[in-house]
Amino acid sequence: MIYSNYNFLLLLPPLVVWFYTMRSARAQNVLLLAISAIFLAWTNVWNLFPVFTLLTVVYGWFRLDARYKLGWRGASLIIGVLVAQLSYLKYRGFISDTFALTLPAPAALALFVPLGISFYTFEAISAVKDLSRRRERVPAMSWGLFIMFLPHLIAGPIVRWRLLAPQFRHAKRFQTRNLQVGLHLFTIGFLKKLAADPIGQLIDPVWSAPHLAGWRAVTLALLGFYAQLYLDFSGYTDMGRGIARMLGFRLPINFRAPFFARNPSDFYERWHVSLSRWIRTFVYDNLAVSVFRRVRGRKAQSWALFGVVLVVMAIFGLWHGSAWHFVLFGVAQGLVIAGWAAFTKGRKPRSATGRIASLLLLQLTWLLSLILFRADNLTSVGQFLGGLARPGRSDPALLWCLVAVAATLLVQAVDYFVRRRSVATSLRFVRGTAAGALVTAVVFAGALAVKMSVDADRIASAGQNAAGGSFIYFHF
Amino acid sequence: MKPDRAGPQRLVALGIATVLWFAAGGELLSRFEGGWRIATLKLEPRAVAPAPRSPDEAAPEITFAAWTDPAWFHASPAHLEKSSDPELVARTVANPTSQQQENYLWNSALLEHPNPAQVELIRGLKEKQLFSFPSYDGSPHPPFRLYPDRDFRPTNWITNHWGWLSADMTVRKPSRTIRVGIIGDSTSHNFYGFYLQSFLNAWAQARGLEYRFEVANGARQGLGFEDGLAVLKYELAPMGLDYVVEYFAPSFSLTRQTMVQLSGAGSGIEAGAPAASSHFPIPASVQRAAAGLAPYSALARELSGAAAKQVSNGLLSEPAKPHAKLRLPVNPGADFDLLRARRDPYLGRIAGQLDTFQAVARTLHATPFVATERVCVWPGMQLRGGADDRLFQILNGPHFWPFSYEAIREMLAIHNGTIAAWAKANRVGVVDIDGELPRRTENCVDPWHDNAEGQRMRAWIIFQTIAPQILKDIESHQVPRDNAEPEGIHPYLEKPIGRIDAAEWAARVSGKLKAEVQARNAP
Repeated sequence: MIYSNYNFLLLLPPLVVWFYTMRSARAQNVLLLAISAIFLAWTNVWNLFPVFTLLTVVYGWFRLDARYKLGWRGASLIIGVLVAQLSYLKYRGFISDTFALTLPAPAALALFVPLGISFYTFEAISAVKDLSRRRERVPAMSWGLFIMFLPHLIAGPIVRWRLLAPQFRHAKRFQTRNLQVGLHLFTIGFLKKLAADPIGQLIDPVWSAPHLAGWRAVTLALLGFYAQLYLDFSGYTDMGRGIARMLGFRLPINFRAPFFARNPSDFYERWHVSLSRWIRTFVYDNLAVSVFRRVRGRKAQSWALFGVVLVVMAIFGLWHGSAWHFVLFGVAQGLVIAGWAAFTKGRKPRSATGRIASLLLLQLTWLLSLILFRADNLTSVGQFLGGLARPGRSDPALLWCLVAVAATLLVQAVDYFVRRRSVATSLRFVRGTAAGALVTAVVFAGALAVKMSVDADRIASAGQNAAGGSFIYFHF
Repeated sequence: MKPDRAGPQRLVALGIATVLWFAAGGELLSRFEGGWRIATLKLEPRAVAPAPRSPDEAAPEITFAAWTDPAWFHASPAHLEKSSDPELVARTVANPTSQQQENYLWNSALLEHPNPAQVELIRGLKEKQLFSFPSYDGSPHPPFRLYPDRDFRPTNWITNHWGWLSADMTVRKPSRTIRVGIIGDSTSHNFYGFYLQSFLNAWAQARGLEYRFEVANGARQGLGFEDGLAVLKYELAPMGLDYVVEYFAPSFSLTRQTMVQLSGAGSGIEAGAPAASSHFPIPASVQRAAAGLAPYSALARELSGAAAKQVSNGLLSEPAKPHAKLRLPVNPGADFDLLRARRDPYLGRIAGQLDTFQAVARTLHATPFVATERVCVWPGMQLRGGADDRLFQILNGPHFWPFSYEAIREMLAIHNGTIAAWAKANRVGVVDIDGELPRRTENCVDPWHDNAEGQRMRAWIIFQTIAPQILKDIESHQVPRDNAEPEGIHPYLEKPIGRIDAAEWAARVSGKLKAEVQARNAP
């Protein structure tokens, strides 16, 4: 089940009603926890196994730490356990293939990667690190919900304890504005998802057989994926944030017009922000400090830092999937970050032309990195690159990818200028008023009608289960 | 926990409203996703799928080359008449579920050195005596033959003098006779040899070729590649084959482990659990209660289980499966890289087997033909509830779980790509069974086996592929070859059938196996 599925759309209204009917924070939290567990178990009951293991083990550690002051060694041990569980359940195949090892797996876990395991493992690690310093008492209910809170459960944003846990302490009271803003965010996300799914259907045939495609098809498929990835992931996050807001919770923003970034560092402050910050805080900072302590000399430190960036970005790539092409995607992004820093030496372009050139160059590097991200394997990467130089026609339908890119840029332009300028004031009309809520509801109903119309055609031609759609980050 | 602001009454009312919401919403959703009309009391289909066609309508989907006559396709082949043997019938009655294994002639080498599974199987037969034949070369290949000259009722098998499902033929080749051999497994252990012989002779007659054709079908169920080669070398070779066609579909049926590895899940894992792992179990009491409402409610149909995954027009579509994408070692398509395929363990094994097959065929002076393999599956395939239940269960059960129809097709594409690329590289004729056999589930008994109409079509495809080559060879006087056993006596198949005391054998091999196990476990 994903947020744009009919099943979830059916579940959401009673959830909101029941949530606000509950008077105490405890009752509200129990309801949320139960619904989150059902949500997670919907596609496979086994999805509950790793999350319950994680909750139990880490909570046990919290209790022991509070009593015996286990310190950083204890924290390191528990983080090791979390990483081991993630490695086994998500990277078992990758490890087996790379190191020619045979890692046994029970039948029920065959080919099974638990939903959202990368997200909630990272959240648990951050909580262990944060709480081991502060020695804060961790209520079991808050801990359970911090990890399993439905709106960020399977696709982030990856939140820190101090940001989310306090929100579970007090009962939420119904506020019309929360519902309006939540519905607004949910609708924007729904529209993005609605646009992303058909792009996937257009470009998937090219990506699955790049050796058969010419340069036009390959280029359009790449541009299509450029739009699809943003619409799919940011749309899903928007929907999650909207659900949270409907229930009176706030989740941090995860995408901030990334295609308007001025440099790679700025890009990662705009693209999957919560993951970028997590990696920077818990991996990059530690490694960089460690390297700076050990390496002397400015030049040597620069080279060492370059190495750290590559390693960190390789981990970033690997987080997305257990395959070498994801690692190379991360390394490629690391090279862009390091190369950009070395070339510009921190200087910003002064002229408008320079700024536009810088923006386009950055997007070009991102676009090319996406070949490594989207290709099925390294062979496909080679074939895809070969396709860029191969003559050949393309399916005219692929031209819709250009429309998708234009729409994506338009969405981000609105996002960019709304946040920077006073347009935000005008948008409050939509976000916080009854008239705005009515507009949002009408737009949502229209979007739902479009989705049902598309799905009805699909069901007629392909049968049951054809309805719905997928979510790219489900696989991460 | 404080329950509610307005007390229990409001909570109950809200509970009822929630149940009604889910019941109404669930019904609407089930109707929408199930292809039913939304606004009718009784369930009515929204989209009507084309009705399955009858087998009689199959012919138009087969291509008929300009030099063929469709009448040949429809003509009934000659029937083999043999009597049933009371002794064999009695054995079958005593072993009703053994699928004629009680009447197999077992390879003596296999009986001497069986593996535990074979011991278990043979011991399970309720027989005092086992039939056997002397091993051809000391190896357990092939593991068995069929009793010759018998009608194996209630199955439709009728064996010729050599135990094959073929017309009778002498070892010495009659003049102006061209012989085609078939090796394979249960997918070939049927009547398509008769069809092929019928098509070839009809063609020869129509064309005025003064030759007749005999097809020797040495295939039998459960044979592996080594077994097939032994059949070719020892059973078929003395007959003087001019051509030999191989088809080993089960080699693909054994690919699941390879698919698991290619999906990136790593090695050493077992089969996943189909369906049950992806849905909440529905209690039997709920299923029973829902069954009565099934004509009126799509939701009830789903809950009752009987109609699970079944849409309104009676079609079964592929159930939701976990994501398991294959990372193929080689790309299917026009630029199939055979060298790369040879480096892959799975595809390399196929190419290696074909090398061996070709070498053996050449030694026998027979022209080899290989065939692509058909698995009755393709993306978006819809199956008929009831008629295709078996096919549905296999494709969506542990055998292929959790691979989608599309993924199985992808795997089959590189499997068949290897066969086609190998054939092209070695200038061997390839019969594109998978490419040319109509995609009709009506002709599939299961993913690998054809029904009678499918067998006829398969024979037709082989006929249309090999006939032009045969004509060329006839014109260049390369066939018929004088390569039959010169003595006119089959050196292996005319030896007397042995009878072995089953109890004595079981005791002997059990002791031997026990001793072997003890020896292995000894420090």
